[in-house]
Amino acid sequence: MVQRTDGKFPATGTSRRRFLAQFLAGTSALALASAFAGAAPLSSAFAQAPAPKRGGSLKVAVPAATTIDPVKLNSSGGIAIVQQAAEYLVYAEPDLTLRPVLATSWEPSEGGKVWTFALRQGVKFHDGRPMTADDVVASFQRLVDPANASPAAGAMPFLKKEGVAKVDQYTVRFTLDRPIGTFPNFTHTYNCVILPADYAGNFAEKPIGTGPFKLVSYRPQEGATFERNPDYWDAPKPYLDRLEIQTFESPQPMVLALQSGDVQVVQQLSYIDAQGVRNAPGIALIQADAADHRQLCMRTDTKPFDDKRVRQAVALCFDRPTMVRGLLGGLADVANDHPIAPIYPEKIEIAQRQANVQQAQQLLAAAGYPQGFPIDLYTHQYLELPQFAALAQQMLAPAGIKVNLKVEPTNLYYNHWTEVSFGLTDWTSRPVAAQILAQSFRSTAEWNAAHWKNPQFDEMLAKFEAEPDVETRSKIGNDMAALLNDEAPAVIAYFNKNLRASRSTVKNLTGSMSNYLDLTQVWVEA
Amino acid sequence: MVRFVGRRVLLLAFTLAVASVLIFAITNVLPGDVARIILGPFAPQDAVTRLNAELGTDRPVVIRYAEWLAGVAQGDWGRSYAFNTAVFPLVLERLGRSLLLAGSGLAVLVPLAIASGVAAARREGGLFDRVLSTVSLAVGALPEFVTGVFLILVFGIWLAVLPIQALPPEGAGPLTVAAHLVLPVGCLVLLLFAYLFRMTRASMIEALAADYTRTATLKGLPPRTVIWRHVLRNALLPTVTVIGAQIGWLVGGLVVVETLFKYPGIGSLIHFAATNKDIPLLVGCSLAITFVFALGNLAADVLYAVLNPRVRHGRNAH
Amino acid sequence: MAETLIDGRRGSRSSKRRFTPARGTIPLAIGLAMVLVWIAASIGAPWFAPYPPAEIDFLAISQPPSAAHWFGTDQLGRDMLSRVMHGGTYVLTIAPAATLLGLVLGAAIGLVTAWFGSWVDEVVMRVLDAVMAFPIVILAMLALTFLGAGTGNVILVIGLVFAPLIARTVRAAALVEARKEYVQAAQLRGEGSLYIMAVELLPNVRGPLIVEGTVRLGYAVFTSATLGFLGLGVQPPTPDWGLMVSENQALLTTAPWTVLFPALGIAWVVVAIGLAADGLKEYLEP
Repeated sequence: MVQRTDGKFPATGTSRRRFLAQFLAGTSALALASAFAGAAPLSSAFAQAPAPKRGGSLKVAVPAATTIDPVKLNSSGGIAIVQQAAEYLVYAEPDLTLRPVLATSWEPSEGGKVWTFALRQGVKFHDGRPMTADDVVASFQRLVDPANASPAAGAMPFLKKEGVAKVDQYTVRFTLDRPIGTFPNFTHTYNCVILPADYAGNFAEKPIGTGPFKLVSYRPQEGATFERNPDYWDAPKPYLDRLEIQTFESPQPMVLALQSGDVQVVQQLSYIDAQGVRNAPGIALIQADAADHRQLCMRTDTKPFDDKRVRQAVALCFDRPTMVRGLLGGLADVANDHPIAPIYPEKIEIAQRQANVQQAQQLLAAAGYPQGFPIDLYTHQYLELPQFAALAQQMLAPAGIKVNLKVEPTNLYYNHWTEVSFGLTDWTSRPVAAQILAQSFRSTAEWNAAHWKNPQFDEMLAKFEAEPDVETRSKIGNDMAALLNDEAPAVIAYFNKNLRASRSTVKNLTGSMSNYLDLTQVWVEA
Repeated sequence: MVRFVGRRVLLLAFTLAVASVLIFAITNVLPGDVARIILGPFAPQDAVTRLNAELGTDRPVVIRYAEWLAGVAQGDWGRSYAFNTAVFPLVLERLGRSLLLAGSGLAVLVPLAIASGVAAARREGGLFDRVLSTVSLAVGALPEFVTGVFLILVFGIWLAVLPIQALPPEGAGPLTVAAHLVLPVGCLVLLLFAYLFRMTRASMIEALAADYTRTATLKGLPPRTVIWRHVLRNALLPTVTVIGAQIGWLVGGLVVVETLFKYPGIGSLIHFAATNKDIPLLVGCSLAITFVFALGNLAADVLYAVLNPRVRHGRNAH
Repeated sequence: MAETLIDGRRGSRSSKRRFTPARGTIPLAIGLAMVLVWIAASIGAPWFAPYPPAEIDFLAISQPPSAAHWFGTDQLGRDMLSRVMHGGTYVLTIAPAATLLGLVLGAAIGLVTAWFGSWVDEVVMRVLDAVMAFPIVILAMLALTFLGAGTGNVILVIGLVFAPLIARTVRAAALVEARKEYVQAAQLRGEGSLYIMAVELLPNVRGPLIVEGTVRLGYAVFTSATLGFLGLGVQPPTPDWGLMVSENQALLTTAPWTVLFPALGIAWVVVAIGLAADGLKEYLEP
């Protein structure tokens, strides 16, 4: 009789992990002033910062974690845990500039095909050994070795094991298959933490990194405890003496734990879950611009979406400002059917598509569907996707498109999401715009759910990827965005913002485009 | 009696064998692809294929089953794909935790429900009976995430008198452990009370009206003896069966209560294993739950036999 | 005390029957009336509900109950009153049908195992034990993955997963009855097994059977909702009560009316059916 409840929290293990960005670029922490009028005091990167206090402990709630082996890592909770004990070469700031961490500088040569990184000297692993080029080379070789099946290998298909080489004790050179103008951003992929050269895949038992905190214990489905790393290279940081990260299988208990004071930080929460604490006294909400978005993909190789006019008609039915307000309480930016979010340095200036049902009807009639058509829309039970789908049903109805909803469990949907003719998928932020363009719209891309093949686009994308200059990239980006907007393989209606919540005693906590958790500068008020 | 119990234990082994085959068969038709789930939806396909080969999920089911069975016999329950830890100690720890929660729940629920059921039956149609019957049904019809959140809000946040996380800090004393269990146990009782209460009440009413009760009363036995030796004994038979079946359910079906009160037990573990298609973990959890379930039924059967001597002497009807 | 109680009860029962409505008719009438309210509401919903149930109104998101929206609105601004009224249809068809199927199957299995005993009993019960050791929603998910979603399949699957539970209860009760004199008498009369199970045993296990049925009904509502929530049953934006409770779970602290009214609807129907069942049982009591 209790059994009826299983599955109430669908696919937590899998879906939660998708909440976190695959790759990171940077963050921007902004006060939730307009959207959450009357919200509690906000901790913000821009606040007048009083002098940090040493000591104290912090409890952080994060979504479910699976493995915490950095090489195989992919769950939101697992990433947050590993990030406290191990570090990247670089860290992306809110404005997407790169902060040197274990690397102090980097230099491209051969037009961006070769990248040379100078490493920080005097950094010690938790077991006292110094971090050197050998460790960095071994870490990256491990990540891109096909035998290790790391998600990082998929993120950096242009880097092979042989391409990683030691120059001297504190210099590493990456030789890529083709020029990549923004390669340093890729080293911020969540798997790419630097581990000792002799790491044997047993991070849970032997968690050795260079991070601000030492992992003391990790228990599946419970969380991890940390103590301060007294030998941290960036003294006097970190400020906290003790840290506890609790993993939660569902969002509601996280929010309740924050309200009761059992935890002081909720690392990430959706718009719907954030409503429970938005007016709560003593709780601050931190908002970060992101490139997260939803793609409503239409199979361009099957009827009825093989006709560009039909896809344009669908795109014309969506009233985007209303969606942003209605689905996400204004916590999103209107998008224009391309994935180059405003947070990226490339500036896109093409005319915004406005809702126009009349024009949609004309296009449908011209394409041979004067009465519209019935269609199954597939999506999964996650975040605001079901509500988006219900809204799509309503917004497409005036054009005669009769949508039948198929809201599936996450696991089921991801078995066939690139096969369905009309599917709504959540995409998380990537460190650079090129990556998301390549993963979702390149002709050969595995996740090109629209099956859209455009040689002109592929050519522009190759140039875009290789180009180190932002101005030139913006020009190419504009052309690509215009092409995507016109061809409309997918409706991209808005870019989401990421949310994080904390008790107001927690200071200096920032948001993140990819929900990364950096606690080095965080301190607590007694 | 010894023969009866011995036979039951043999049957328990049979149940476990059937369950293990069933579990293995089912885990191979779960929606989703193991390596895809482990690596996430955005991992490259060749990495997924490679991991599947590495994990051996592409090999025939029969071979994997045979290997697993041989391992189980040697005390090796395999390693969890997702957590990369040994399954057996993890399952054991979680099982113990869930048993504590379920046991505490039953310890409160069973006496409460039986006493209320008996009281309601003796004044059938009375105010106590009507109110409790109605209210318990209404409350039992609410899902536990509604009653649970309500309990957390009232006692954990507004009144702030009880901890909302069921897992006590390490090395806590029995009192602290008990305090942490109050809310989840309350949630369980609210959920399950109606069922046991109504079952007891219905059997009790039937037993009170039965011929043997009248015979006993007419024989001049004292009322207390009639109630205890004849009525209650017969009335509790269906209830005992229900409780026996309930133990297995409680242990495996606590997912929502465990998730809500952050109490990682076997319920949330099996749910995690199922959604992540972590086959060794799913199989281990299922086996453990089946075992507890079968033990619960065994206990119920034995208790049933004690209450109803005709059963343990074998069949007599035909 | 028991003596007076028992005899008094018998006395009052027969005397009551002469002067007052038959025992159980009052709860039966109340229960039926309560169910009728929802049957009327869901049949009348297309004409009397103030708004279309799926109409999204972004100008009225998560509004508390008001004159314009008596039950408030949900996160898409849909009118809860209209949704709850329309939703009755699903609750009043899927859950009772699934429960009934479970009762029929469960009673059949329970009676057969109890009556035939020996190896039939052992084998069937051990297999059922093994099946029951799986969390119900995981079983249902697997089954629906093969069968595909759809109302008929949801009824079938819930009925099938309920059957073993009901079978156990029926078996326990039937084992007791099977040894009573009236059954042995029927056997001596030369009645067949089918006759004994259907005519002698079944009426005498109806107590536990009715209890199972009424309680199970509430669970059927939620199992169907959970399956819908997982995309395997009733699809959103269908205003199914259980589905609404599941969907709006995250709003429990901020917009409790989105959960409260559908949950009250469920509780109402479960209580109504419980009352009706109690009344019916009392009324049929010899």
